[in-house]
Amino acid sequence: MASVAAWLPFARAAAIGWVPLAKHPLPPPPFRISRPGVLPSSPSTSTTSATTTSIGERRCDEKIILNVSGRRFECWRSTLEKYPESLLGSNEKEFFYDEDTREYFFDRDPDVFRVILNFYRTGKLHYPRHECIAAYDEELAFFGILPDIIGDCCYEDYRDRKRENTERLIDDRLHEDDDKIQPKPLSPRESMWRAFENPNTSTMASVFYYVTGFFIAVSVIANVLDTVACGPDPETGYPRSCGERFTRQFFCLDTACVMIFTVEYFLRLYAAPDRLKFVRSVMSVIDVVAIMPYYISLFMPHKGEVSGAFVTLRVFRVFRIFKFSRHSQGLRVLGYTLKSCASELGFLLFSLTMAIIIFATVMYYAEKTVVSTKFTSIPAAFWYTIVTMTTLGYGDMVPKTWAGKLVGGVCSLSGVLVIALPVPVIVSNFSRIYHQSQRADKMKAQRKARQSRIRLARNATSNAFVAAKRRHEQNLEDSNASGDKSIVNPFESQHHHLLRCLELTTDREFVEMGPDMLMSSGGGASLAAGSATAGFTNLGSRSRFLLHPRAWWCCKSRRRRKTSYKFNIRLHNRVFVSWVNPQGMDCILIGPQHKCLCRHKFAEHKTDFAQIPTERPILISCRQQGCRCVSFEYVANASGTSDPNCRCKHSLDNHATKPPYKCQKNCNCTGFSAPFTCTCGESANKHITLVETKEEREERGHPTGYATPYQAMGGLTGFSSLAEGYLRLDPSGRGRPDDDFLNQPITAMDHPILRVHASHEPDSAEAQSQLRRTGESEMDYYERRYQERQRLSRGIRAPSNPYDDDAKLTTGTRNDKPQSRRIIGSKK
Amino acid sequence: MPKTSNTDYDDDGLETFKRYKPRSLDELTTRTKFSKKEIQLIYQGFKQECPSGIVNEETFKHIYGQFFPFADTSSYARLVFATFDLRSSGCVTFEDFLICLSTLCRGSIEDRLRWIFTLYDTKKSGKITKDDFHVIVCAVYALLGNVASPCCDLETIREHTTTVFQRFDKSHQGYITMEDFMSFCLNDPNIIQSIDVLRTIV
Repeated sequence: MASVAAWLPFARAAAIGWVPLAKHPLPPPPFRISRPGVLPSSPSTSTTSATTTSIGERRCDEKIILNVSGRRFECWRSTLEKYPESLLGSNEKEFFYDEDTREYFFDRDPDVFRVILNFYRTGKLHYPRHECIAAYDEELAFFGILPDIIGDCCYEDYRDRKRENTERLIDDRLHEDDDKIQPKPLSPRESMWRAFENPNTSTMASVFYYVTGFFIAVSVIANVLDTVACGPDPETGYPRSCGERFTRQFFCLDTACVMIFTVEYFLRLYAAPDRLKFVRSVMSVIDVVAIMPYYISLFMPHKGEVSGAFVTLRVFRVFRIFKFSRHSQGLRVLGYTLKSCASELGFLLFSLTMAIIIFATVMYYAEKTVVSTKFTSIPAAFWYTIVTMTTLGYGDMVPKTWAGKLVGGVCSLSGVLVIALPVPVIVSNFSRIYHQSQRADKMKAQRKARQSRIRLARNATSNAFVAAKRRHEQNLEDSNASGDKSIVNPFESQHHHLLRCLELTTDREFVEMGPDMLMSSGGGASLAAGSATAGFTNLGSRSRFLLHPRAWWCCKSRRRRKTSYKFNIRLHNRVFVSWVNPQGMDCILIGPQHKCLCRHKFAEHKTDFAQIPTERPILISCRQQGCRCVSFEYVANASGTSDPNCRCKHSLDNHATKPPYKCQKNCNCTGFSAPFTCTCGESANKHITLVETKEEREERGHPTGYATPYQAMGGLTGFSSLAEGYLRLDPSGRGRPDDDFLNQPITAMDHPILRVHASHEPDSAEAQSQLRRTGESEMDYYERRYQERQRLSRGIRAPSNPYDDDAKLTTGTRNDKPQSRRIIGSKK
Repeated sequence: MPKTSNTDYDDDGLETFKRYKPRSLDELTTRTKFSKKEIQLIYQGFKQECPSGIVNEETFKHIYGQFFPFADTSSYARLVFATFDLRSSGCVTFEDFLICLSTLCRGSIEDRLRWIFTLYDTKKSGKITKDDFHVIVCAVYALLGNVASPCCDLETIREHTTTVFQRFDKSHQGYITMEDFMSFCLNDPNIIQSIDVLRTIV
């Protein structure tokens, strides 16, 4: 509207042309013209005229501000009111009006909103191609705009994406339904149908699948061998076929196959949920056609001559080969392709027929004059045209006249074109359908792994949730005890109150799940599905789980109230300390024994915070008397007995104990700096000692482990923390190796353990045994794993003599020699 | 097998676009017991979760589930949805939602008790039987999910149902009518007090 308004003076001015033609005097203007004759060129530039002031004032009043997630858009109210059905155009937007800031606030995606606002301005809705269709639809629905208004330029795109999305959703839903149905106990008929449709459901089903496949092959081969020449007839001396010589054997074979096919057909018919639909399906028709000829020939008097009908029946037998289509996905895809290309194929047939008729007619008349021509009629010429157009050219019919030769040439050329044209369409359809079915199979395989991942993530979320609630309650208790009313998030407190109410209603208590339950509920599946290398990384993460004292967690809810003040602050206010290189890799995770530049260990520093300080960096001062250390600073490469020397050649002891750690010998050293290159490749002085809270560490994506009640845990989150950064495969170290690396084939050059892992299936006993058994203590588990690995590397798969294990445990040796084992074994 | 035909270019690709626009803010302010500011806040939250302005049962369950991420909320959410879905049309507009919410949050104690009765009356028969109670207790226990301790089994639920039902069913007639329910609740100071506890500041 705003843009049109600028053109109003022009329209009014041009209307002067009507004045001489007017039948009646024109009505007075809607406003008083103060200075007639002065019409401004543009209403926005001039302020002198009353016309423009009034318009300008009106428009200024109607400028409104839309704040979409912090990005401010300004526009005219009249622009928005163009579409009164939408959110912005109607009074619905008043729900979003913020009176304090005098703007409309929407907590939506500003990028998509730009598109929507452009729609109000220009009247054309566009679809930004990079946006996800579901997100875009949701925005449109939010602002109440019909997707049908999308401009022609984007509509096709939008529709395609939309259809793809709906198909995917339908697919997903179908699969979900499949998954849901699975656990339900099925009636024998239903389970039979499932076995027929999907041979992977049970052993029985796959046996049936392969048996029928075998018999199809046998019957087809028999049908073919039937006609092979098999020596002369002893009576007539003419050569005869195997079918005639071994009539009885072939008949028996045929009967056996047909019996099996008949039984199969009736079983399928019995099991089918909708029998009528089954009978009418293509597959069932093929089945019937495959077995029918046998039964018909049984009741036909075929003792006499080889009648025409009988031969036809024998030909029909070969249709059994189509029964293979149940067994081959490619063949089914081909069938679907032909079905989906029906219109193209129809066009091909139609155009061929047309061309054949035209050329046959022309050929006939061109060759009519030739004596003893083979082009005796137009239908006779059809044969010539077909052979020529398909570029076969048998040469049994050849034109003699020059006109006939010309038409023959044109005919063969046009044949090439007509046949070649629809082929790419069919090919592209085939590849599309084939890929779709491939993708569906792949998705089915991925779904299981994905679901277990989701379940694991969900469990983790719920744990975090319960932990948040606990923390909140603790805070509340603390603040009540100390009397200060700190400001808490009203949403959070009310939500926790809601959960508390639920707890009291049901007399239950929310507790966090231990890692045991996490592993058993979700991790097991992913472990079993993972490859050998994935199993290795999982093992790494598990060892981190094992670090925390399990027994303590189990009784947590009971002992919680008795836990000391220290305990609580270690659990909740832990700070993580790590020695970080410029790339953000935690080269060293600081533990209690790591040395500071003040010559004291990390454990001797103040690591317990009643309240985490708000200023950064967090300072971890030394607790030792007389030490003036401000904050923990890790000395690279310091071992218990020998400290590294500084670049100034003086030892650590000669340097000050507080920043900047200057050398006290008379040299120009500006501060301690060890001439040491870290394993990550960076020099030691480029590293920093980073102190961070749990939240900050999580933000960096680095593992935080479990809350532990131990003192001075620093950055230790598990056993792997003891390794240096470049060795750790978690996000705090070098990270997970890329997929190419993990999936690369294992060669003879690789480590023997890796080769042993590669030699058997991922879901073998080895992967299973990675799980800790119930009731097995930590040490037992590691011992068992070690023994298993030893056994594998020696090439022994099955658990050996149990006496051996006993012997090893009692003697305490792990690398016992075979001879000694034998001796002990024989002793027993 | 995926759909292969390319001919469905007509309107089956796009589902019908359903959208609901509430009446003006002022009208809602007069019809409910919420202030203008509160309605604005509630609507913003409502619109955020269901952009079309209509909630169906699935969305409702999803939203309710966000408050109990560890649990199976669908049964309780279904029961609550049934009380909000006054026309039993399968979807709830913002106005239905707000009016029900206004009774629950700001209504008189009798109104709220009446709502509880309709919630419990799962079969809409006008009286609560023991089965109804069982359904609701099951739904509440399902909210606990897998993180509750001690674990709850069917036996505890049955026991809980029986205790509560016996408390209400004074005359041992096997069902509870609206009048019984109201009089019992109004005479129990605990219930009256607890209902007030669950007030929410928007």
